[in-house]
Amino acid sequence: MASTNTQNRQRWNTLHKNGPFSLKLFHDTKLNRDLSKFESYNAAATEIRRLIRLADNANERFRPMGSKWSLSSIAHCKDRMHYTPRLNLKFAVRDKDIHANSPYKSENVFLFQCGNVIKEISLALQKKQKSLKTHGASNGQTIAGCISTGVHGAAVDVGSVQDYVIGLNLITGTKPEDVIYLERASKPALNDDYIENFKCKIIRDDELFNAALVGLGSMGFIHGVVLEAEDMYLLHRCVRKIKKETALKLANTLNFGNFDPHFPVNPLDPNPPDYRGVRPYHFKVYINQYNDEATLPVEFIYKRDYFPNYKDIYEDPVPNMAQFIYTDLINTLIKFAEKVPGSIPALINLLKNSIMPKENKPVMGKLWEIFWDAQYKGRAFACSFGVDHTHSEKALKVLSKVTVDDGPIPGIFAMRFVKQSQAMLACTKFPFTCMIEIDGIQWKESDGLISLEEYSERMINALKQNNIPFTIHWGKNAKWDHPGLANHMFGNDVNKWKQLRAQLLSPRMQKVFSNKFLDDIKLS
Amino acid sequence: MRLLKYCICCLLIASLSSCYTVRFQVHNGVPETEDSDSEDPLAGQLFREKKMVVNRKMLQGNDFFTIKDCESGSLNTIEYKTTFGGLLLYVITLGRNKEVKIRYVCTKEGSTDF
Repeated sequence: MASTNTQNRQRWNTLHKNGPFSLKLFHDTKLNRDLSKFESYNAAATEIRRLIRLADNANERFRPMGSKWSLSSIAHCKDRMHYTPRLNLKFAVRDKDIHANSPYKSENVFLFQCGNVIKEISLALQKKQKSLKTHGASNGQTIAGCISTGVHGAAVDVGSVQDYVIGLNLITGTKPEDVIYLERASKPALNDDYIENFKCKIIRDDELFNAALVGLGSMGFIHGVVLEAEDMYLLHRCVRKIKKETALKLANTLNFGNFDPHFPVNPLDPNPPDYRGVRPYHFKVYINQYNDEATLPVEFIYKRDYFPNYKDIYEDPVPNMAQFIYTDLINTLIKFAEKVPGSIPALINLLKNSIMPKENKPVMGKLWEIFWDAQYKGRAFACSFGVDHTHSEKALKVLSKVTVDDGPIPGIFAMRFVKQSQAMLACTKFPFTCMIEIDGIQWKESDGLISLEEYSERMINALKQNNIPFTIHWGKNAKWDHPGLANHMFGNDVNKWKQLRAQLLSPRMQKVFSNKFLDDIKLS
Repeated sequence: MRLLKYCICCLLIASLSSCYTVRFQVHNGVPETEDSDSEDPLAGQLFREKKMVVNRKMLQGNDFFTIKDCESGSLNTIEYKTTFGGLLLYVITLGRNKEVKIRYVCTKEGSTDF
């Protein structure tokens, strides 16, 4: 059996201290590693069903959580929370395990238990000369947490994390038959004999799968995730300062046909690249809304075939020493800014060399090396809106105006671009979504500073008034109880998602797998 | 009075220069995690702490302190800390005793196994 340590708790908080939130019980389950991998996995499933039963019997809510990187309260539940990162088994599949109609190669298909974090998946895949297709700006989230909230990164033509997920093992109740393997009927991945190892009921249904992909932690317990990896590759990164009008035109069009990023040429490169006219793998524009500079720092990352001696030729993307000397200074300045709100623009301009990326030499590394560990674990906020990329300049202008006129707010904007997701409630719902995000340090409401909630409300209203369709990243800060928000963002898909959830979960289990966040957005 | 001021200045300088923390972390490993509410640089990681006073004999370079509680069998992060109290102990005992304060984070169990 897997074993669970249960603690009585009064409160719980996110990694970036966006709470605290009240809590009764905290479950922490550990695998029995003396068993075979299949036995250990199935023992964990039995234990999870037992914990769900306890919650159901007590008429309480239950919520699995991962690395608690979400800044919204999506991971929180006031009754019982379940800590999943110790559930980290990994399975490679063989040719004979693949479904006869599968479009996937067995060498690229892997099953990861819910508590695997992105970095450990990358390191494990590396042993097989494979890589994830994309992930977020860092690597500490669990795979189940990533897909539940729609973590997206900035891979323009790849999509978000959930877009390379091809199968889900869900636990939707207390009975053995509530252990389900769900995948698309149109693109099956695993055959029935292999799935039998996990003692699952098999459902092949495109709509149900697309609804469960970004399930907001409310489509049952995601116990396992089957994903498609690809051959290991390298990423070539460089930050360039380019004219603001050029950067915004690229954002609006994503047409790089006549654009040259002017990457410095490295004569030692075995295959010197020419990126003129090539759309980058990753494109990110940084904007300091308090400074109308003529140029903007833009991060370009291009994909390259893997070659082993890349570290001898290019700068290592992983720093030898990670320095975060400004953390205390920034916190002190924020305390000052709470007393003197008008100082925020000046402070941000003062700190711009620390908080905005500098033009630098190109670096090269694997995906997990380029998007390495996030070291800052202090109090942070982030508001992230998704708009169609053709609206990116307009939306940036609207959101910057709110920030400057109704603020100031201690943060800066960035824009990232991501291909459309098939997940029903993905924030990357447009053909190409521009995710406009303001990141910064938390502040306290004062005489001259509006609250984070009020700021978010004003940004939502401003986008509505300017007729810019938008979504909001589920894991970021927002005025989530804004009336009709989910319907405004996703239209009819909201009702469809609720119907599909009711197909997957009994009425009792819908209650168990709900939380205040789901109540606020009227999806429970 | 002047002597007292001088002593206080010396103590302040010594306390400021004697307190430091150094952290080492493997770049290609995954730390063992836990749910905690701290804002420490190791927040979210399951760190263990060892604080001990060791004799000079133990610091000659031939001895090992055994870490027995990493189920993965490997370390991810190690932090070494010195404090003014530790320095004071070292000075008062004429170098015979030294305070050793470390925190360490194990590698997450099963993190790279297929």
